[in-house]
Amino acid sequence: MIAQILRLERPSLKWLPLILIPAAYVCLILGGPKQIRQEIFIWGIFLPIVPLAGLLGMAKQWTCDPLIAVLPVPIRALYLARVINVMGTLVVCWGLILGFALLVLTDSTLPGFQAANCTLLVGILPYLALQAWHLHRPGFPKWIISLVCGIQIGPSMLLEIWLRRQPPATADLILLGSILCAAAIVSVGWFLAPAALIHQPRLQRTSTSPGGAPAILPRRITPFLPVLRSIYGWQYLMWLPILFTQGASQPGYFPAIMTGFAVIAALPRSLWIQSLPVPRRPLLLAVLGPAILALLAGHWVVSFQKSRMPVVRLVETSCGQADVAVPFDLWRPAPSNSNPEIRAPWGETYRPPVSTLLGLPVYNPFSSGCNNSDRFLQWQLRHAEFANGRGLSSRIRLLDTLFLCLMAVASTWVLFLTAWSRLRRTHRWTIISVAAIGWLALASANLSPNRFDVLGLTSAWLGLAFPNLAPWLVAAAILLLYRMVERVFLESEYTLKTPPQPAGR
Amino acid sequence: MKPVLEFSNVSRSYKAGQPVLDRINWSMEPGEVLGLIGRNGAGKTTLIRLAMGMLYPEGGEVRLFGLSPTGDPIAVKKRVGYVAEDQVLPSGSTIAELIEFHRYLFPQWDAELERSLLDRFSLPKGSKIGKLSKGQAREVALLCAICHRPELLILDEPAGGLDPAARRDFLEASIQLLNREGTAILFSSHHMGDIERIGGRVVLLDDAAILLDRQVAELRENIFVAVVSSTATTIRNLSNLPGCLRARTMFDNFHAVIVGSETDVRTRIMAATGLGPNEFQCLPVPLEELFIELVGGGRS
Repeated sequence: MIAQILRLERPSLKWLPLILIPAAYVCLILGGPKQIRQEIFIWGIFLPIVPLAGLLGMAKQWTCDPLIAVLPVPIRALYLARVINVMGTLVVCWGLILGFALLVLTDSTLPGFQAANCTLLVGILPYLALQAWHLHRPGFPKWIISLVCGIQIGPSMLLEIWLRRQPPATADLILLGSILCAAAIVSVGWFLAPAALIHQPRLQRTSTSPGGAPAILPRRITPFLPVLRSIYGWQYLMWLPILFTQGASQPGYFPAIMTGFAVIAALPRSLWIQSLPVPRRPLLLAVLGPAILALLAGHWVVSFQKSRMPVVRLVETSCGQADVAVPFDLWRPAPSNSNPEIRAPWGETYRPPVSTLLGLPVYNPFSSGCNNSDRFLQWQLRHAEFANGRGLSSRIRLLDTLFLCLMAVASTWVLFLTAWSRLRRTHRWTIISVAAIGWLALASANLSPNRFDVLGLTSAWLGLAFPNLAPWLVAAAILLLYRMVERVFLESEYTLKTPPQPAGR
Repeated sequence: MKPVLEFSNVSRSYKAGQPVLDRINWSMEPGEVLGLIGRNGAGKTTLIRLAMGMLYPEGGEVRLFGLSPTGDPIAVKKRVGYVAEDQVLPSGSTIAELIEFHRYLFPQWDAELERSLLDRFSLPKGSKIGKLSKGQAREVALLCAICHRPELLILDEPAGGLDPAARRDFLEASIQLLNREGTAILFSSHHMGDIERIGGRVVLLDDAAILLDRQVAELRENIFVAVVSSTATTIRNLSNLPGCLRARTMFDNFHAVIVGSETDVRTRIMAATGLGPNEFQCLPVPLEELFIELVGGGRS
């Protein structure tokens, strides 16, 4: 019986490849365990946790009540099947974390491993509680599920980051508490399971008011209220805090890639506008704009915090001497075929080693060698602080912002391709494969075996390669890509086979 | 007279090699009332969505008022009213808010008609659309579709799921309010009773093509079903008869749908099969029976 119910309710485990393929891809491009640095360990944790929420949200268990309700299905079998569904997904995600842990587990990554386990189990608790409640109130509003997804992705990531800084005992205590809570919730759900699933009628409110728009709104806005309510439904709004949290907590392009999902979430609710003379361009802007702003807001918060920290600092080198470390945006392109020479006014020189930044030979012009004097070191330090004060970093921050926008628009474009009328005749799996490759290409832009902040690296590279043109180049790329998104959006066919929710009970 | 809606060689499929509509040629004049019928999956909704510019044709051209619905969507949609069976209305908004939005979109909005329809349907303006019954929601959709007095009203299974009384009221409202003022109406329906009641022209879609395109009055008077014993002739003989739309086997008999007056049809059958006048039946058929004869059962 339980197996039959699981098959009917489309267990979330069915979506396992969605987790496994990107995880395998990440392992592949990271170049194996030897290449994995400690800070990249978060990817092993992040990958299972984010899809977990989606998997549980997508699972059919929240929607097929009318069918189950009319069938002679024992309610406890149904409940057990649903618990297995959730716990099965947990086991898969835990397996992935364990896999990553086995690759890189060291004393320093152990707290991360424990924190990830703990986060997973804490994140699963609301789902278990929802399932127990769902037996008593089948068909509860879907915004509750989306809220749980939001809790799962956003704050649980913060919990995970917090736990990694705590002593291992904290994570162990929370883990133990979570296991007990999970057992308690499942037991309570089991014992209090009702005799049958019964749909309770919703309370109907009869309104005698004229029903117009609230008077506080400007008159220019009021006609658009139905449109605004449609596109800014919970399906869309739930993404804004997620994007903000991701923008703030995840470095690199990955949060930008999630922007497309927010846009796609808003579209089904705006289908009713299709038959009306409403221009589509403002609609696209209204959906894409807030999503990008939420993402950037999160990114700006972190950038602001970083800007208050000293970027020029002294570090100890292998020879025991101090050296001046500066961010990549203060580095300079190296002349070809020779090491540049740094010469102090009193004649002391140093030839810093040349590194490559995404293929571009660069060097730290403020570096000091093992044989240089302390006077030389102080002279370089003063120079670095002066250069930083000229606002180079603010230019890089602008580039970071523009790059994030570019990636957000690019991810939306990739997602829109599947609905583009010109690609419609292409075989479905061809489109999905191309979209998947596009996604993986975007995702791989975020991962580097050597450094984690690829966004910063790209900005720095562009800033060094095209010092004056860089912002204009990226801005032009954004405009061009946005035009492409607009074109695809205008020529897309958004007719769902199953409409979201026709009006009327 | 310039057609309000014109399909020229329009093709469309959802899967390669399986056309839903295959080189359809068809047009609609101003003021015409046209009922679109066909089995489930025959392409009625696809045709209507192509007309609304919600889908792109793979081949051919769709024109509304001489304009392309995909190339000039705003100008076209300002002149069209549309109600679908799966009409998704913004459930979080009130009727008043939705009307206000439509009033903003359509400057020619008829406030008088709006008031009379609100009274006729007894719709509380302050109610949220999500709280309305299915019939009430459909009435709101109709109100929004017709109060700007469109030149073309497109109804895609508009009365599906409504009880007979509500369905009749709904369709009568549409026809009475608009068609007498010269609005063309295109509607699809499974209910032959609706088609017969509204009259006008009938287009039957089957096998990705238009199988029948006639006036309802002509169908009532000039289409007959010949019932011939299967031992008396072959189905090929019947299929090859002039004016035969379809012939099929029904148990021990052949049923052939033939266009023409009763005398003509009888003469043609006798000439083709050599049967006497009492050896077969030639029956006038109601529209619903005709529909079943044309698209139901196995094919010859």
